[in-house]
Amino acid sequence: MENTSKLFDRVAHLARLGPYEPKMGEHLGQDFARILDLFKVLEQLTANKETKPSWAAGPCNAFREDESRAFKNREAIVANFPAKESSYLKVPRVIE
Amino acid sequence: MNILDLSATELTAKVRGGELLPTDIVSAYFKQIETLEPEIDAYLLLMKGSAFEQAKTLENKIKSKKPLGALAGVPMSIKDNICVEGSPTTCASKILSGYKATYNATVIERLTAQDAIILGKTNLDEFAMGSSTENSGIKVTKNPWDTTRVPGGSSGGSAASVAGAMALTSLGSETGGSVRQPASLCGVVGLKPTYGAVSRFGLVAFASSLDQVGPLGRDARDTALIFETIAGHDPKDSTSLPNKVESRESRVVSRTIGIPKEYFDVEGLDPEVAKAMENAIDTFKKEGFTIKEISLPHTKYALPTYYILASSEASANLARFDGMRYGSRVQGQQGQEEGELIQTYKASRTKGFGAEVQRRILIGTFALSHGYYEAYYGRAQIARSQITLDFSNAFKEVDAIISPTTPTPAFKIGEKTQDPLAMYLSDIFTIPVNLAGIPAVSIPCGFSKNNLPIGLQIMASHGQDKFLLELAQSFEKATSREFIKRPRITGGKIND
Repeated sequence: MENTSKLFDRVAHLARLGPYEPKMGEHLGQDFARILDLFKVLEQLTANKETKPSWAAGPCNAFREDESRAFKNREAIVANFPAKESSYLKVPRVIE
Repeated sequence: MNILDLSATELTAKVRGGELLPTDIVSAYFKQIETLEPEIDAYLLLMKGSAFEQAKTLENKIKSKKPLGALAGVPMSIKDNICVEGSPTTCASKILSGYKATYNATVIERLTAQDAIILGKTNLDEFAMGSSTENSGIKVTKNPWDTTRVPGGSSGGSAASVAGAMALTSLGSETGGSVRQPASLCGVVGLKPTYGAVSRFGLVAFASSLDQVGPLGRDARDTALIFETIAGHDPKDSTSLPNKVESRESRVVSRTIGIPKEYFDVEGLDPEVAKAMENAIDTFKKEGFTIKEISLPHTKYALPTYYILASSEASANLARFDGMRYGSRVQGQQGQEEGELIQTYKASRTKGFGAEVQRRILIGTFALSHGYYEAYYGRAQIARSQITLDFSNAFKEVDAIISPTTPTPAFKIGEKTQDPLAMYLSDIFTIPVNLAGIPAVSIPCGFSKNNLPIGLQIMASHGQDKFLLELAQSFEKATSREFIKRPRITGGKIND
């Protein structure tokens, strides 16, 4: 495993978190290392190759038909927009 | 007649009989809330106006002799990660401040269709991640039995509201024990239903393969009444079970109760909790049950398995809260290495989420990342299957399994906040149930010398929720309901 501090920084970037104030970063980094230690017990797990995921009920297709439907409460949804132009949600530019 | 002393069954009977007006019920409960809430902090939102409106609508129904629902006049609190149309749904997180739900969760539709009255939304650990409600981004809820102690979590506001008679029943949600653990610490009943028995539509997702809405009540009968109302297939939830769920393991009906040795040989098990368990076992023996020691050999893997899987799912579910698609936005600045967009994502999430939520997102992102996935997420999935298999094997021999709900009674506020691993251990007995998807209930079974409630956990096989609640009611009857109590309140102060 790579150095825990470097790993923490890399994971924080992947998670779109940080950068942290030094004290908070140190605190979270220490917790991160301790929690990874907790996971080491799983290395003792001797898996039976026949073990498969178990589920409460057998798998079944629960998807709805792919049909467009109008929201019944459109105004309330629009009211939650932080910024809008007429009834369109206004968002910052996301293509750099 | 003290309205606050009535059970849900008694209360609805009096409403039907014309002995009690729904507006009087709402008045009585808001009087109690106004007295206790400043000390307990169970609620994030009080819905007094809409509660009286619901009560008046119900009174009009009674006057016009229309049929009444099964929960006519039952005052309820709702955990603030369940959507109630037109009301804020914060998940106790700053990132959701200002958001108002635009629809009702299916469970809310079902409760209100049966004439339940919603009093307000209750506090929780942020995004339901925690075991003490101290991770709330808004405030800390106190335990009505001792306000220097935690109510448990994450449904701590729900449990405290029922314990303090600030609601008759409540809805919470479970991912790893978040209904049962606070129910145990607050001396009320809490049910984690079979996974899929209750719709998750309108419940803000934390870990979708584990999340489940669950009811809390003062006793098993009230809890069963709420469960029967909210359970059932929902086409809006792709993991919802068909209405008639057959157990995979047909129950043996041998009146045998299993005692898992791994749950009683745990470091840190409080002697008073162990004693309460001995008494509970004696009660079942006197009721004619055979007690059998069983083994659930993969129990030691449950805690790491849970924190890998739940955190992995949380990292995916909470990715949408980036200040662009969902959640409050904090504008980032163009940096030397990263553009304005990435900086905005990071600033919104880092300022919007609390420390525990960030901790779990970091762990989950790690467990799913390239190079570590097989060793962590993959291995945890195998462990989950083994844990599920342990329960399946056990239920071939016993009808139900019992254990403590928590290793200790309620702990002090602040006692575990600096040590997340110590906090995680308070869910050690509840987590395996969520991993296996089976139902379990926590019921009061004793009190410590400090007058703190102790909870008994009863687990059953998939789909045996009704049997589980019947067993819980048998226990209450066998113990003459001696553990169904409320903290004594004198002059607005809690006197324990």
